Amino acid sequence: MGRFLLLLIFLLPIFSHAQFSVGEFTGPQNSLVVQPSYPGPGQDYTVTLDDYSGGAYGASINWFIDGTERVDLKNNRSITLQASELNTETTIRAVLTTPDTANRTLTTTITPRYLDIIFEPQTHVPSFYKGRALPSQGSIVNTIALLHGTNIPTANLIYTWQVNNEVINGGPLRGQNRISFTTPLGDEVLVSVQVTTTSGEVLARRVVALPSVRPELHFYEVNTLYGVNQKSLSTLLLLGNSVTVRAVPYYLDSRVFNQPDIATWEIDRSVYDQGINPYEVTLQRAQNNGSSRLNFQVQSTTAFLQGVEGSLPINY
Amino acid sequence: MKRLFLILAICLIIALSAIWGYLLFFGAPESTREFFANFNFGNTEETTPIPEPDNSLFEEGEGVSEPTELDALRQLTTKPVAGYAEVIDQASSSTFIYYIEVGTGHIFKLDAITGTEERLSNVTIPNAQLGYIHEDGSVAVVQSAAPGDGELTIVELTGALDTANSFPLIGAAHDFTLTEDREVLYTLKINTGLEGYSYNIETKVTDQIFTLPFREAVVSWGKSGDATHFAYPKADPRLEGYLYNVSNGVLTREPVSGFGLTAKGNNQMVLASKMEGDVYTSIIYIPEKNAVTESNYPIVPEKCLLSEAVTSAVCAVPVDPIPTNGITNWYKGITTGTDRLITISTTEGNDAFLLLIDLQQVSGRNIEAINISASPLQDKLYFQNNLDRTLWLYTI
Repeated sequence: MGRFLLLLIFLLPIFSHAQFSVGEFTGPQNSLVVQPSYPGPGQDYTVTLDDYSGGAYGASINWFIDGTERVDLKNNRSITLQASELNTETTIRAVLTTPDTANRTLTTTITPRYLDIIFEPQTHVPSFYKGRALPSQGSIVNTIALLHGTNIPTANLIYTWQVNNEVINGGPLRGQNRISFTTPLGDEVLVSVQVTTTSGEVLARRVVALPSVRPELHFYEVNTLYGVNQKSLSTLLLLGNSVTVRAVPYYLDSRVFNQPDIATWEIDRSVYDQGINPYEVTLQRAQNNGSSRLNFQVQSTTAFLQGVEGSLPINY
Repeated sequence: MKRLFLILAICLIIALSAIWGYLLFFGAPESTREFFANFNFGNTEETTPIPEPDNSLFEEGEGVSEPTELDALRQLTTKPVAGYAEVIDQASSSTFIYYIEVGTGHIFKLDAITGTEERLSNVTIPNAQLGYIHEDGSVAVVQSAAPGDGELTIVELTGALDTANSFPLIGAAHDFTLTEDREVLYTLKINTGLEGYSYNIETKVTDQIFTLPFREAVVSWGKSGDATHFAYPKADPRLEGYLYNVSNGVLTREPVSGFGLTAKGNNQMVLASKMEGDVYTSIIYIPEKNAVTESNYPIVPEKCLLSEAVTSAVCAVPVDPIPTNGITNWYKGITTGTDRLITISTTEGNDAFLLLIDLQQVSGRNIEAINISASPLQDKLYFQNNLDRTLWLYTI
């Protein structure tokens, strides 16, 4: 048993290597470190001399950008530059000179590209809402990566996706610039994508933090003639004999929204029967004046975070 | 004694009747000025009258406000409006406002001078929410159900109420507009994105003009189907957005991106806003020069009207600062505010702002201006109040 455990400990790095390939997520193999590794056009980036071994101690450093020496950067170990235009290559060369050794030249090239990551969470927002939906725990997020600045067709590029540092869909995927994943638990999801050529050259890489939110409920008045009044109600003044109110659970998983396990209206804590649409209720004036509290709850019975409850004061 | 009182009373009645009779037939003043001047109370010198506040502009109720020369800012309708256009009648050279009523889709012709209106179309489009009318007044396109996902209907206006003709164009359109060339430009959602189409009303020919690789997009339409259009993913302050232009079917990334990005643009100028940390910031992008400059004024691009000819725009800008999630709450209808109308012009990266009118200060009520348009002579601005979708006019 002891031997087996010892063997397992030695073998663990091999398994982890299979998931987190060093070649996939490290920058070019040289001693100039670029941060961010793959800047976009016009973006500022720093190039730092990686001298962990101390070999450049006492050396003079001359920087050359596209073959032209930048005297103002002389002897700096870290320089900041602005990325050139889209898909325009810039060669950065650092020449290290020490009195007792030969010159050493370190080179890196930067080709700015845009790598856009677009999230389309499959949660509910009303059709009049002009913004984008946000994900909530358990909901599906469709994600698209768009690389601009290469002539290689999407079908010939290799995409490696990670969600919260876990490679998804089994590993690098050729032509797969679209993925779907389920929003994990937590306030934020880290999504990264790396795009490489079929020969393994890394073209771009990005990591984006995607927020995960709780569903929220808002009430709107529905007018028979004019449709939904797009002003959210904080309180409802019932002037006529009846009024129709719609409950809109923003960011609720679309699957739960379409088939809610529980969708209940209450008035002053008494259940009120709704009509065909579980999200709408028509209220009739029962007394000349007074006040009540309208309550609505929608809930999934299998995913406890997929639910929301809210109330609306009514004066009449 | 009693008899004496009776005689005096009769005499008094006769005297009063005589005075009343005289005043009735001979004593009426020739003018109200003469009548009041006769009292001679206090100083009788004439002074310049102080105009009463024109509260009639802002009263709720039927009909439009009574126009006077003072009404630079006027409410034109009390009904919510789905779309409108200023139309010049070719025969009389008179200017009218055509508008589509929310809910019914009925189209009305409004005389902004007299306030009279007539119905041009009794074609009912249930739950009409958004529409456009051609500037020649011959055709309109109306979306029923919710904006963004409703069916489009074309309404041909032939001049007579009973000859208005309509036909459904397509199923649920996501985004649409009507061009000067009588083309309906619209987008349809597909599994892998969004497809843009142009439909020529004359030839009844539909062409696909572009495909976007994402579904949740906002399109800032160009002047015609073959013009440059701008598109970006729908905004949220917590999600990054990117600006693209679509020309001849080719999608090109523009150097504009950011959290909560919204934009509106044409070939001359793109106005965009985004969150820089917790600060709502706006930028002006000149595509021809590939130049991006930060605006000194926070702009909500969706509430701007861009000039097609020069790098200038008219924008409705909120009086109050826009908070971190201000745009989201505005979309949800949680927050409302009031606007100023300003002009923006930019040359060589320097933007100049000119205040046209503070709508709240002048009207005394909250007005959020949306769907701004200008008259052909650029002397009038039309807009809708987002709070009740009524139509307003501001004469510059």
